[in-house]
Amino acid sequence: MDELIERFAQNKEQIAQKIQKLASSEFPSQTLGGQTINSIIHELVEAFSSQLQDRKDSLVSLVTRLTRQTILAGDSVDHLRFLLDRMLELTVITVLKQPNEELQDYKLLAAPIELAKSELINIALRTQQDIITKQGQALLELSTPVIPIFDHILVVPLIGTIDTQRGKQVMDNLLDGIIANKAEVVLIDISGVPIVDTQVAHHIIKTVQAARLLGARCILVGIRPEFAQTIVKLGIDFNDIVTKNSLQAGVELALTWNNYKLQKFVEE
Amino acid sequence: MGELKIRIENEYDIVSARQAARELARQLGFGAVDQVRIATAVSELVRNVVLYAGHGLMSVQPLKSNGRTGIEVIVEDDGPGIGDCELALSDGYSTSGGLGAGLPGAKRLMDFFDLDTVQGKGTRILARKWLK
Repeated sequence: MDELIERFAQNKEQIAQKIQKLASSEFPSQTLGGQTINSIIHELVEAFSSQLQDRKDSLVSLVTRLTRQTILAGDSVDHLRFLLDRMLELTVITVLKQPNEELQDYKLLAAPIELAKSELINIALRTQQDIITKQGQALLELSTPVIPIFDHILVVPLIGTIDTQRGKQVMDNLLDGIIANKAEVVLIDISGVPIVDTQVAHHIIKTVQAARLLGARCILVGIRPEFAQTIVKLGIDFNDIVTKNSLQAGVELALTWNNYKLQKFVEE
Repeated sequence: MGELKIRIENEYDIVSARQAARELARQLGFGAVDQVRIATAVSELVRNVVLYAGHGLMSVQPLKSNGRTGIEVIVEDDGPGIGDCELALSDGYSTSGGLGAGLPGAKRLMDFFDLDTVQGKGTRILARKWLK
C-alpha cells in the first residue's frame, strides 16, 4: 500500500492536469463557488494525497468546506462529484498498474473518495435546509406592520401571500396594536395581496371579528376590481365589513367616525 | 409553453401552483380578470389537496379546440376522496372550519368543471377556461 501511496504522490501533478483537461471541456464555467476549478482540483489532489499518507480526514474536511461554499454560492454540487469521480478513476488507472495489484488496494484508494462523496451529499442537504430555514425567517421578518395614523386610528397593510404563519402574525400584531393605541378604527389595506382566495378572505373575516371584540371597527380597503368579481363568484360574504374603494376614502370615513372633519384651506 | 406539473406537498406549493397557472393564462392571452379567476380557482383546489390529502399533483396546460384557445387545470390526489359530492359542492359546507366556498367557488370561476372522486382512493378535478 505504501508503494501505491508513493506512486500517487509522484503522479499527483499529472493526475491533476488530466482532471483539469476533462473539467475544462465538461464545465461551462471555470469557477465553482467563487473558486477556480483548477485551484479546487489542486486542493483535492493534495488533500487526497495527505489523507492517504497520514490517514487524517483532509479530503473529507476539504469536500465538506467546498460543498458548503458551492451551495451557498448557488452552484451545483454535481461538478464537485464529477471531480471526485475523475480523481478516483485517474488515480486507479495511473497507480494500479501492476497486474497483481489486488482489489484490497483498489478499496484502500477508493475509500477516502467514497467517504468524501457521501459526506458531500449530507452536507449539501443540510446546507440547503439551512438556507431554506433562513429564508423562511427572512420572510417572517417581512414585517406585518400596524401603523397608527391618527388618534385611535390604525392602518394595517397586508402585503404578499398570507400563509398560515404570517396570518397568525398579522392577527397577533394587530390585536397588540389595537390595545397599545387604544384604537377604535382599523383600516385593513389588501392592495398588496396578490390573490384573494377563501383562505385570505377567511383570515380577514376572523381578524375583523377579533378586532371587534377589542372594540375596534374595521374598514377594508384595496380590493381590486378583479378581486371584487372573484370574491362574489367564490360566494364570500363580506357584508358585515365596511369597505371603501381607496385608502383615502377609508381614512376619511375613519375620521368621520371619530368625529373629525377634514377641511381644505385654499390660499387667498 | 406546454404542460407544467407541480407537486403539491405543503402550503407553499399553493403559491407555486397558482403562479404557474396564472403565468400560463397570461401567455395564452387571458385578460387580467380571467387570470385572477384561474389563479384563484387553482388556489382553492390546491389548498384542498393540502388540507385533506396532504400531497398531490397539479398540472396545467394550454388547450386548442375548434379554433378556440383555453387552459386546462388538473388537480389530483390519493387522499380520502369526497364522500358527498353534492354537499361538498354546496356553498357554506366545510369540513375544515373554513368558509365552505372553495370547491363550489372554484367551479363557478371556471367554464368547465369535472369532479371525479372515490372515497378512500382519491380525487381528480379537471377544470377548463376558454378565451372569449
